[in-house]
Amino acid sequence: MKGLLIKDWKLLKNQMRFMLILFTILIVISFLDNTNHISFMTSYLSFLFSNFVLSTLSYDSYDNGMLFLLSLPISRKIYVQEKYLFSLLLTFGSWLISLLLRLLIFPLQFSWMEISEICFESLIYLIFVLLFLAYSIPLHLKFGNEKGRMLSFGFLGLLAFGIFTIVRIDNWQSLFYMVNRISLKFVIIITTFLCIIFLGISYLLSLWIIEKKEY
Amino acid sequence: MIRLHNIKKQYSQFQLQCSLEVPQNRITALIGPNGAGKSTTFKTILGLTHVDSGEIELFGKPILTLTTQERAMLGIALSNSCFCGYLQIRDIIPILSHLYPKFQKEYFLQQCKHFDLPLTKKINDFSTGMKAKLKILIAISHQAKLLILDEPTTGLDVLAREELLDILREYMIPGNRSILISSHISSDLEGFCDDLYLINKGKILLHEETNILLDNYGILKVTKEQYQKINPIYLTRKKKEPYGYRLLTTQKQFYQDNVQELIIEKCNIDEIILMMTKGELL
Repeated sequence: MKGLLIKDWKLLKNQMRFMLILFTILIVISFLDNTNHISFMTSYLSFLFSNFVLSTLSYDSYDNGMLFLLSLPISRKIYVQEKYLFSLLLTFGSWLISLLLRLLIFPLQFSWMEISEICFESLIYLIFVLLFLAYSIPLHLKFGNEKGRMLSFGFLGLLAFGIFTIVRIDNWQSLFYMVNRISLKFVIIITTFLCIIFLGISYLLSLWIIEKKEY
Repeated sequence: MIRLHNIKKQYSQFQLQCSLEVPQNRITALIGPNGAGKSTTFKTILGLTHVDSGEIELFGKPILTLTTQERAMLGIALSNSCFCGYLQIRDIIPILSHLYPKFQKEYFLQQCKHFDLPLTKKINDFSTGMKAKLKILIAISHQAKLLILDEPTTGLDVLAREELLDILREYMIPGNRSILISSHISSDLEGFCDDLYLINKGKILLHEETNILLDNYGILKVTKEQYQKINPIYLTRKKKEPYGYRLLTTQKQFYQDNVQELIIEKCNIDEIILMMTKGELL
């Protein structure tokens, strides 16, 4: 598995220049962003890196690459495990770095209350990103890159539309106050638990897809 | 080393149905025209496609039960597949080091230098020949016990082909090793393989030792009258020609000794492929 992780890391490194440009843009935007409640940086960077995981799936299947990869001394199970591990490492890593940067860039502007709010919001973004990966990885494995990407973004669009509809119906502020009344710890535990469940189901689904697949 | 027994795989317009064996210390070739089923057979051996029935064994074990360590004893070069083209050779060295416990980094680097393969150039930017060399180097650089090479010399000029074949001959020297190879370039196989399988439309048409094939097999060029009189005991295929028939024999010596005024030619692998696939069964 280490060999596969190195492969994905090398592919990521080859895109480092592009990543650095985006990272710079991100920092500039963060400086311009005076509205502290927007965790743009955290969500954007994590989402960007989660997309890179999907890109590695594209790279793997580029020019019949999967034929070669699966003829190496790795099983299909290890291939799937590596993808999920790489996703988690990359998403958590980028989330943590961006959160720390955000807190470090404006350390004096925040009260403890605001910092905890930012951390909470960032955590919600992280969970959204992980959920995005949870349904996108099996879609990519099943339908290939182009169809998989279209379907995962289509699903994301539907999800956004659903949330927007709920917000319009139920009034966003009342929903926000309702969430606020629930213990923060409870919300984090429930969402983390749900995220783990979804990732588990996603992993099993991906495994089933790749075991059935013919190359 | 490899044993395929009564493999059957049905596709919408193609059926693979074959049995073959690659014993230890042998170089076995799989030959056939385009679309004959060579690459499908390779993919089947590697467990990349699921078969409908039959047994596939590598190192005496069913392919799906091989451990990672056992799979590391395989060296693979597939015709149209390699590491992602966005990687460079310097990127794939640590990958190979971690995937193969016996990866010989120094040897690999030395061969890259020998074949003028740049370490810091994207594989995408390699020529076809450079890619072919890289694939073979990847396959032979970890002391594999069995090489499975699908069209490894495609895109190489005659000198590079000969150099690579020499490397493969060197690879066989320690013993207890085998190679299964396919190639369109029959001259490569004639001087290189111990035996060969001919496949067409998913079926094995012929399995023979290369030296028997080249020494004993022959082409008879006969007129219609000669064809009526000739003893067909060692004839396997006939093909209609403007002058009469072209016949494939498994014992050209028999006809040299017993029939006079007959045109008998030595045959090469290309001619055998032609006669076995286009000729009429006798």
